[in-house]
Amino acid sequence: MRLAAIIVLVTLVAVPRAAASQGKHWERQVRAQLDRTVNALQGTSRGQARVLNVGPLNTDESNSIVVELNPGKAYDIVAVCDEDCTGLHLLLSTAKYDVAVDRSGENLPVLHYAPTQGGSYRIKITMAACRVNPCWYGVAIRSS
Amino acid sequence: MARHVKLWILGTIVACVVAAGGTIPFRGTRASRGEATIFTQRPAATPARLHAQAIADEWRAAQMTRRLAEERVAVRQRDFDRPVLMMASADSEHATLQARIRASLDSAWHSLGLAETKISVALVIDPIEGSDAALPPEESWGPSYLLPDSANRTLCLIRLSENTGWRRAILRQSFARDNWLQPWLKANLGPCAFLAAYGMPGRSVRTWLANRGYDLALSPAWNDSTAPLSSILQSDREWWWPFVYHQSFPAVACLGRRVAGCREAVLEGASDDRPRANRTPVVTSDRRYWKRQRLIDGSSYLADVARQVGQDRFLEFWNSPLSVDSALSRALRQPVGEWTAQWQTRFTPPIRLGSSAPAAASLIAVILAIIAIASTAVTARKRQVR
Repeated sequence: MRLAAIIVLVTLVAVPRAAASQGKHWERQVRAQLDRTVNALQGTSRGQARVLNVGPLNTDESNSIVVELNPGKAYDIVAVCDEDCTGLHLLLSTAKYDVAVDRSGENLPVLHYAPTQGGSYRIKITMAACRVNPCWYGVAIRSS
Repeated sequence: MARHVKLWILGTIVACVVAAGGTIPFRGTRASRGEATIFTQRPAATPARLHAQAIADEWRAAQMTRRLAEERVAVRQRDFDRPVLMMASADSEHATLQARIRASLDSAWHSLGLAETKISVALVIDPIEGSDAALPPEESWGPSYLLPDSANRTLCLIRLSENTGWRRAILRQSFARDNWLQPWLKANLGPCAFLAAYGMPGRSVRTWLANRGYDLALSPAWNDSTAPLSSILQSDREWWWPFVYHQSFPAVACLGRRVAGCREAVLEGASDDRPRANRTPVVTSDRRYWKRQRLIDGSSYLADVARQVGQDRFLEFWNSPLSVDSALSRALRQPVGEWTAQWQTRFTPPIRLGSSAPAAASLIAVILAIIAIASTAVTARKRQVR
């Protein structure tokens, strides 16, 4: 099921579409990818999807976002990046330990996590490789 | 006193005068007419004065950092795909001035092959602060840069102080014919042009360039294949010796085509030994920039590397996680020192280093030696034992 969702996401993200939002070419590219991803996530099953952040990062830099997760729900967290980016990592952690990580070395990391305890979780996005810095990234979350 | 003794004494004095004439002043430090404006020796300042000057320099640096930060906040809200131009003045000539600068700036940008770039560039031209006589006045010297940092990763700011001289020159009728503004603005794009073209460098290159004030990336001349006249040569291509004596040892060694010197001159600052807190995204041009240069004519060094190796290999070097020495050697396909020694030949002939006798003095010494030997021989032949 998870694999099928990822395949759908990758297919949708790879299809170019005119960006509606303003900003630089690379920012628009990431926003467009993220919009398609969020739409795809909402289309596959019931649940809410939302964009958490879009921004630039240099190679080896990271950004963290704190989100509230509830027990009894499953979450998909997906990140995308621009055409110059060749490696993006995602890490989900609590205050004490890491709970999920995708460091597969690709530019479309996906995390699936169903917390047993509610509370604040930290999503850390790391730009692992970027050909022309900074690279734009975007991250979205879907609950079901 | 015997006649021949008097002759000997006279001959010795004449020889000393001739030798002194040939050797004093020492070769290389002879005064030239053009040096008085820059190289005039001033009396050494007192410790109190030096302390006051150091405080004034710190004040100016802090003020510059503040102004750059404020100007970046003013620019960051905009959306753009060419350099932003911001001018503070708003007099009757403002529109003409801005239009001409805008056109030259766009032309300079396109001549670099740049269009929409990940790191945008903003040029701010504003008047010199300094109405308060109790504070150190701002110096109108060269451009200052605020490079992208974690607060704003996509904007590189250039600040130029408005100068009455170039303001008049731009407004002059002959401005279109002279066309000096475009190359001047292009040169002033400096490190911001590099960041726009190649993005923010990787950690090792970033640290290296920051440690040396981006001196190797000040001139974005990657499309200019003709080498400019070296600043260290006079118009007749003779060495400007007072200038040479103000430079660092590795820089002068590199002028002498010593490979080890060239390597040291380029790689200075590559070892990451400065505390992280001391690194600043502000790059300023010092009025004493010509003193103790790390590499003579090095402002176009990385532009020349980029032109030679091509964009892909340059980007590989620019973003490399390897040490600067390894990354640069890999891009150049030869050791850094060797390439740099060869590169230096574009600007200057090799300088002769080490002790060497000047040709004229050597000739005089040989003539004196011949005279001395001949006179000794003649005297010996005439000697009579009674």
